[in-house]
Amino acid sequence: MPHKVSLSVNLKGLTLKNPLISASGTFGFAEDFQRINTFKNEDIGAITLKSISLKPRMGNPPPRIVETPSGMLNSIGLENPGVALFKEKHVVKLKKYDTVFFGNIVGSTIDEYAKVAREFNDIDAVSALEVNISCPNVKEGGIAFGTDPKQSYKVISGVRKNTDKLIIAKLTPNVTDIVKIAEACIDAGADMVSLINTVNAMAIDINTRRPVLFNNKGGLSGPSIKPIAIYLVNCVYNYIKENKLDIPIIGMGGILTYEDALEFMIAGASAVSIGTGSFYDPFIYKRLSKKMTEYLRSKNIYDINEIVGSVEMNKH
Amino acid sequence: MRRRIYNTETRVLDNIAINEDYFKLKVRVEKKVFEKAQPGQFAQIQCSQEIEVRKNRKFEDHSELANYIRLNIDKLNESQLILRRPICIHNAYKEKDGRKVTHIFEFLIRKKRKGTELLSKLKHGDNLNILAPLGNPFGYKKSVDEGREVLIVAGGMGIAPIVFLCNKLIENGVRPTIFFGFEEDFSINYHSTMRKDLRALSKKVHIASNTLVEDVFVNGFVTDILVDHLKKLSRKKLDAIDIFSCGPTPMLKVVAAIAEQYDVNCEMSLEERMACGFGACMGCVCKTKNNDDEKYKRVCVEGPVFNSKEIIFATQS
Repeated sequence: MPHKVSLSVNLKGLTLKNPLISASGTFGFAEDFQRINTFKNEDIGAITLKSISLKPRMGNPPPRIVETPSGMLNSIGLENPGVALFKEKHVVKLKKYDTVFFGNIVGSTIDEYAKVAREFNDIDAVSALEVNISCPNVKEGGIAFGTDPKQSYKVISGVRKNTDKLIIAKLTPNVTDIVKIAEACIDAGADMVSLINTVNAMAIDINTRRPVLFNNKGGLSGPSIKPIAIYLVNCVYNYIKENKLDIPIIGMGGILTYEDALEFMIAGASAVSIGTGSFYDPFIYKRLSKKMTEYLRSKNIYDINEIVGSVEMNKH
Repeated sequence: MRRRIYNTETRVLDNIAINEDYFKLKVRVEKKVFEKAQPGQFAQIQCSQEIEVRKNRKFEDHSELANYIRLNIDKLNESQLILRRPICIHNAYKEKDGRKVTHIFEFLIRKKRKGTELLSKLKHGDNLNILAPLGNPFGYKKSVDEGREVLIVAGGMGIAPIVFLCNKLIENGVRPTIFFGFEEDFSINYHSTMRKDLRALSKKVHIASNTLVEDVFVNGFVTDILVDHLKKLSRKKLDAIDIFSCGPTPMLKVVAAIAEQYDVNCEMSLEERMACGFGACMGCVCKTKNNDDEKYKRVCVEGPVFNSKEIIFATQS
């Protein structure tokens, strides 16, 4: 008899049936994938909703998307209906699905982050708030906060004062030392960190000699950024381990196969997010759950948590 | 009610190279997918090295194939194309061989870069994963129900969704008039694959081109011959017209202006770079207006077919 393998992970008291999470901005408000025949939101460990700001945001003009080697650039520009319309139209639909939901909030000012966080207090379906201090595609807010430890601290502590929900700080790779930003967020009261957001990037049309994206630059995602993400997850994991902190990491960046997901977890991620890979294969969550179970069984591992942070560095 | 989408395995029946740049891909689809498809809709076609993994393998049925894919999907090369290619359904029809019915989608594709290049290499018997049918179709049912006059305005590759549309119109007893414009590089395409079909599917085909064709043609723009046609019509006749249009954006912009000038109902199919293809990523938007309210709509869900009155064309070239 094959032994029972558990994919369940615990993030600060929050139980996920598997460690696979949909990344913010790639899954809308959990309504779109559901239209695909036989797709089940319930197959996903947790669903991160698209970034919500206080007021509606129109987003950037097109083109917003371009494919690049083993990846894609996007510059959506945080298009969203604003928190009021989100609560009125979309929240009610979340209750239909037996899975965990994370909200994702963004602001142009520190005060706006706090206000949006407060608006989520009466949304029971949302268990945690991911704070987007790392969007590269808008003029103010987003990444402006996430590249400066002091600003990151202010945003997270502002949110902390206004919510009892778990806080996930979403970090950008577009910094010299990501650990300093992680440290500031943790000091300010973040319960978890998620990384990485997309990498600053550009594509140019050689015939028109103009950038392909209207916004000129965008954020790179997909398998091309995976090794960068693995390294940064491991950097943050080492910091957390050395300081004996209880801060789970949600790792993401270019996951397409079960090997990718396992690599993140071995590097130190307690759970992983998937985005671009789900455009290639919408059933990626189900596929990876199955494959990860098979892997663990073949290695005689009963509990996926055993592999978290199990990387052994080469000694010199 | 939002339409259901299928993530489905198709089998390549034929892949016809029209010339160096264009090819017609013919695939067998499941009946349920076929029955959902409407003209103007598209498929998100997976085109990666995975195509190589699937090449020339025989599968008894869809579940066996799906199983094989699940087992082998992880063998993907690490450097690959991630995004699917949104391609409109060029035609959808049934082929009967005795009691066996085969449901077919055809895609008319232009080779642009690596993705479409890979698709052009598919051969009979290969398997191909598609997400379909996607998007908002042409509102041709209203034309049929209300017995309206249908004008088709297409430019170059914009003819791709029109063949399916004309077939559906004919099936329902409406014979459209086609205005078709193309440049020299497209003329072989017209002559070899669609001249006969388009004639059979319409009252008349009006051609505007800069290259000589056998038909009576106008050396100019398709929008010029559209205006020539509309300006002869009475207000009552104009009110009973539906224009369905697809083609390059500069052409659509002029068609939209003509429709506004003559106050004729007009729907047009837009093209935009896409990531997911079903509304999740917000990547493929176009600016729209509703009275004074301006907002972006998703070309993959609210489009690709929009009423021309809604669309705000970018001023930047």
